[in-house]
Amino acid sequence: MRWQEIVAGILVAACLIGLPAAALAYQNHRETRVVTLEMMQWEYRPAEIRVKKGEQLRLQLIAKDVVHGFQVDGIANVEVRPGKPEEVIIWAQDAGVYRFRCSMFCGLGHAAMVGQIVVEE
Amino acid sequence: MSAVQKPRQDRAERAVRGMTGIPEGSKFLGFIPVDWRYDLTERFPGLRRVLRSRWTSFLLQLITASVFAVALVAGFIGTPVGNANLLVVLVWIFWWSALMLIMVPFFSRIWCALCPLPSAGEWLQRRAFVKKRQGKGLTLGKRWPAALRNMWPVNLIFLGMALFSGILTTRTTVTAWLLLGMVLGAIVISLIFERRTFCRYLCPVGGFLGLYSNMATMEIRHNVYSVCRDHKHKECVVGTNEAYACPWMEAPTTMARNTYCGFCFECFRTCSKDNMSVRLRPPGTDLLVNKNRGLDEAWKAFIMLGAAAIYAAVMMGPWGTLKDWANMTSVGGYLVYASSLALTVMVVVPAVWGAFVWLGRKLSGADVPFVRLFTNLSYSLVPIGMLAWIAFSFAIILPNWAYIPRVISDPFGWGWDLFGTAGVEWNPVGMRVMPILQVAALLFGLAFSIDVAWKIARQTLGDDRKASLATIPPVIFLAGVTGLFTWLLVG
Repeated sequence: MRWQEIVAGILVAACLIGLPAAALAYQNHRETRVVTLEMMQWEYRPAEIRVKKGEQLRLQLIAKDVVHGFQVDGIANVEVRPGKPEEVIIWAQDAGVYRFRCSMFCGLGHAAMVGQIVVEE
Repeated sequence: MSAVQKPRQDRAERAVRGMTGIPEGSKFLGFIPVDWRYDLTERFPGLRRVLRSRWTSFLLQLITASVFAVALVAGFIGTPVGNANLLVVLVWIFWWSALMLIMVPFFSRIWCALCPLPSAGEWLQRRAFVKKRQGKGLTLGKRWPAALRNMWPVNLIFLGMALFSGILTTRTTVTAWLLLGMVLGAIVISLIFERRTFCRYLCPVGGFLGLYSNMATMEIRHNVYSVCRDHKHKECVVGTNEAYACPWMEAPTTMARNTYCGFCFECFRTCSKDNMSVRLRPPGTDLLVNKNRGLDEAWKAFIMLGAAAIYAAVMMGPWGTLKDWANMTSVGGYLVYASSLALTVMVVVPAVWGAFVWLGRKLSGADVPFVRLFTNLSYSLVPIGMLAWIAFSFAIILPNWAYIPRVISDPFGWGWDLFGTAGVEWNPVGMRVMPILQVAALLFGLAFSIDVAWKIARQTLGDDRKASLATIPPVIFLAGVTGLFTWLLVG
């Protein structure tokens, strides 16, 4: 039955290609705030990022000098190398202040390399 | 119609079932008749119609393949945080627990009927999704080398994967690459070799599914043996114009164990006599089948038992150093872990078990070859091994179930909330009863293993007294294993 194979083929295409494609399309249409976070000895620029609750934050992480880290406890921990930007997507689900810090030892001032994300109501 | 149907016990039937040496009326643990069967396809005729439909298999595969496709994308581009990523949660929490707690014990290799990994390869090989296409498929159709038609390749592949379990189960991209590699591997093998060669001889999951499905409470078998015997054209073996020969290269007319039956139901579609059945049965029935036992399957039992103990120590134990080694935090530590794991499952467990079997053989004065007794009695490790994995799986699903609704709503960890369950709090359940469940599972496994060991010893030695004496040392081993798992999981 040729028509049965055609129906099955359409179903396969719709499910195996259509579903992931639909997911990516949905993501691209969501309200997303894109912030470029520069990382250098021994600071983040900007050191404070403000977002609204429910907003999606797409952080583009760029290490300007040496290897740095971006760690928000329980949410993200990314190693970033110079010349190799990384991206982190954070969902601002609950209001509050979330501290981030460098998780790769980057020199004498490493401990001072901190910042915060403020999620406002 | 009676709910409990007496199996047809003519001589041919018994020979096919291969349970020679098991006394009539034998019972598991003294109260479950070994030959009890409940024919689901006879009781529910609608079920036979569903199983005969070619669309059933296609739709089941399509559903799992769809979820798998999304999960695979999540593995590659979703959040690297494992417990917020659909792929890791789906595979290592949901699938694993469902497999060990429900699918294998109750439904045998039903997962193989749902598994999305070989779907693409099979569709390409057949050049069809649903209906059988006439003519040659897209494959060279070669036969798998005779020397490798056993579980050894699967044992080695599984061991290779087990060595990397520390990073496999936590790193999303590693899991994604592994599964994508398996899909591609299945495609390549399908294009070169006949039917489901990949599933039968190479799938690392298929090995332990096959062995542990001997414990399952469900089987697919012929209904009346004389119908198959008198039917000269073995459609289930050679196929028909409408349906394929057994994709698993089994002969359903004489199949006596679940080990290599992938529950694809193709034999229902080929059989013009409607002589195939899905039946409920007591657990562990196939372990008593005195046919096609081999060292390859014995080693699978050792590998699974040893791996369960090591994983329990690494994942559930308090030893941080072990976790670091398994997670590859240092090359030296990882090498110690990997070599210990390989040595334990391939050498230490078999050697210790062999010593206990040798003692039993001496004690009983049995004159059967040691290797035969060793191989046969190794099947008694299946119940305790499987129940140890069940106890282990309780410790995976009960504390971590909350991640499942979370990733259903937010599969990529991108902050979605598709079904309003993304905010489900991490909330372990049943933590107080979990140790009780685990100990109960282990004790049931111990009792079942002892019972199977005695029955196999009697079957092999043909004498009650000799069987009892030969079983004493293996029972001590089994009790020790149960104690070890109790200490690792609960103690």
